Amino acid sequence: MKLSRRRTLFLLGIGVTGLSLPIVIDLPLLNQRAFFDKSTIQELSSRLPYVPEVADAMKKLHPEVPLESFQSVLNSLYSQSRASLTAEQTLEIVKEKIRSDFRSGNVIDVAGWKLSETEVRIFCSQRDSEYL
Amino acid sequence: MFVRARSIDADSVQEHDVVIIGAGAAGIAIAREFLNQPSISVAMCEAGGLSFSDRSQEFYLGETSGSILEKNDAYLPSTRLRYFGGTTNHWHGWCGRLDPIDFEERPWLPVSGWPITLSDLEPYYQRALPIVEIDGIDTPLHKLATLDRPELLSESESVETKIFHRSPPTRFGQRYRAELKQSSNISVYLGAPIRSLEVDDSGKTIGHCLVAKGSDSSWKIRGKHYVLATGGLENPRMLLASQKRAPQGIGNEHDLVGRFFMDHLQILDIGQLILDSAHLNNHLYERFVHPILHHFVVATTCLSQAQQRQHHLQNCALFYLQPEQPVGPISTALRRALPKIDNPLSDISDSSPFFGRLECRTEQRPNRESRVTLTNELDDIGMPRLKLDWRLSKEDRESAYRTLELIAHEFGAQGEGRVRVVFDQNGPWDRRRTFGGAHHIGTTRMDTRPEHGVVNKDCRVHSMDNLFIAGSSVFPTSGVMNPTLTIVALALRLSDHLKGRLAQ
Repeated sequence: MKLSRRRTLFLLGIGVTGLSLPIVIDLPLLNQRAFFDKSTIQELSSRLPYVPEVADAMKKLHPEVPLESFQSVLNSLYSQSRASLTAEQTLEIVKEKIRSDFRSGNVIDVAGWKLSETEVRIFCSQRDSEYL
Repeated sequence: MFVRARSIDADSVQEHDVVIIGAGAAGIAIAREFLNQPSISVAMCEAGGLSFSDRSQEFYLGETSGSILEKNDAYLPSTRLRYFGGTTNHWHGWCGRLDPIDFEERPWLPVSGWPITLSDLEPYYQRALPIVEIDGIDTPLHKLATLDRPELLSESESVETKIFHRSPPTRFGQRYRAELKQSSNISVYLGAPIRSLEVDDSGKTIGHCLVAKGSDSSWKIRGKHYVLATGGLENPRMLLASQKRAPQGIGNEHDLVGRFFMDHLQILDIGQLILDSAHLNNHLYERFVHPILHHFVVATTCLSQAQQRQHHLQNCALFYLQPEQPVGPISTALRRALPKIDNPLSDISDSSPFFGRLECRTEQRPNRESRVTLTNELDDIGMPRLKLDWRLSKEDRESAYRTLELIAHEFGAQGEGRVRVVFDQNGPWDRRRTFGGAHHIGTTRMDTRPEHGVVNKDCRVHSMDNLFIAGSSVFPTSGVMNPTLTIVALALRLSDHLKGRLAQ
């Protein structure tokens, strides 16, 4: 469940030196428990920083992603959890949002991985998290 | 009875009611239908002997080209066997029905649509099952998928789970040898390669076949009806090489014989998968002996027929292979080597999300330029060798990619996992990762219209009154399922048709 920043950048197809490197997929990198772990959600719900470096990489890979709206979208998504929802409820909201993305085709290709727009935004917002 | 063809005098004539050329799954299935009908004399001509020989197999050598075949590729001699029992001698045994959509005309697939439906074929599938020695293929999925072996994705409007069943496998030559040998009305000629089909003066019927006896002599075999059952490569070869009255070959008035060659495309490492839920595993998707069915099964994931129609896709099945747990190669090796009960790593194995490789098998788009022709080189009995130019299309790649993509979305929508697609839909075909299933399909396609098919819905060559074709060469499209059960079902259907004609 420990994601290093280096691994995340690998996922995005960007080497730490800025060079494009072969994608090396490491299982914990995309372990869904990392996405849905309660502590992750709690952390995200309280601190949703924008990561320009990762966001820029995403933008190069997927120019269609409205990166500039990440912050507002995630703030909107988590505003309720900060106010009144439990971690479990927050988790369910996130899960349903992600499933809804897949059902409606809001899917983004990240180095071949078919990910929901929401989870990609979460990835791009985890600066200083222990998962990076 | 078995007859060594070398004991037949040159220039002699053997007379029978039905002459079956080829003793593989189709030929033997047809011959068996006449076992208890002593009034009907049946001949079955097998080019090879009772066992494998290099010399016999060399008759299969030819030229190759196309999207994934090298020049002089091993595909021609290695994907079939030229001796009694035919290719069932190395058949893996996987079989099942085609899907209803496989029989339909699909506007996005050129020349698709069978002149018969799954319902037409269903009674023959039922008769074919005991011949390939399996039963229970209609067992509902909910009885096959258990708590220990759950399906990865629930069946939905988008996806379905398709089960492949495995015959023992039935080696037709061994399994049915004794009854054919003991039969008094069925003569199995061994070492009897047909050099040509000879059309009589009417131009509409086969008068006899020339059976090669060495390189420069022959004898004749004559019947009321002839069934060509030599496989999807040799069937067109025989028609094209029989040029005495028709320079373009028999049944080739519309330049269709040998065209539309297809195989099932196996694409390795098309993607990767992780599962979210530790309770899910891929056991149902491993080849295992099912406790209810008592034969090997393997589950795959397919798009629903509605999704195929909506997105204009070819039929495709996704296989899940070789879980690779995140504990490194050494511990993985240890886990596999040690008995589970004593294995300290077994908990890791059980609790870790599955991470595996995906492989797909896809139906190939009918392609007129994918074809079998003849070369100028003759084999030892004077038949032109064949050339296979197996062409794949960009639509084949796009369809496989889109199928995987939609299944990836379904994994996300059901909250079961994520899929990585590593297959480049626009890239070139990679010979190392793409190969055929050794299923030779489409070269004498079935259609009610002579301008679109070599045989009609009774498997009779349109332009010939007494020549029929058995085997997967008559399939207009391939579907995604292995062809043997359908080959046998069609052979039984043809047998019934022949019995009707003989009774007239």
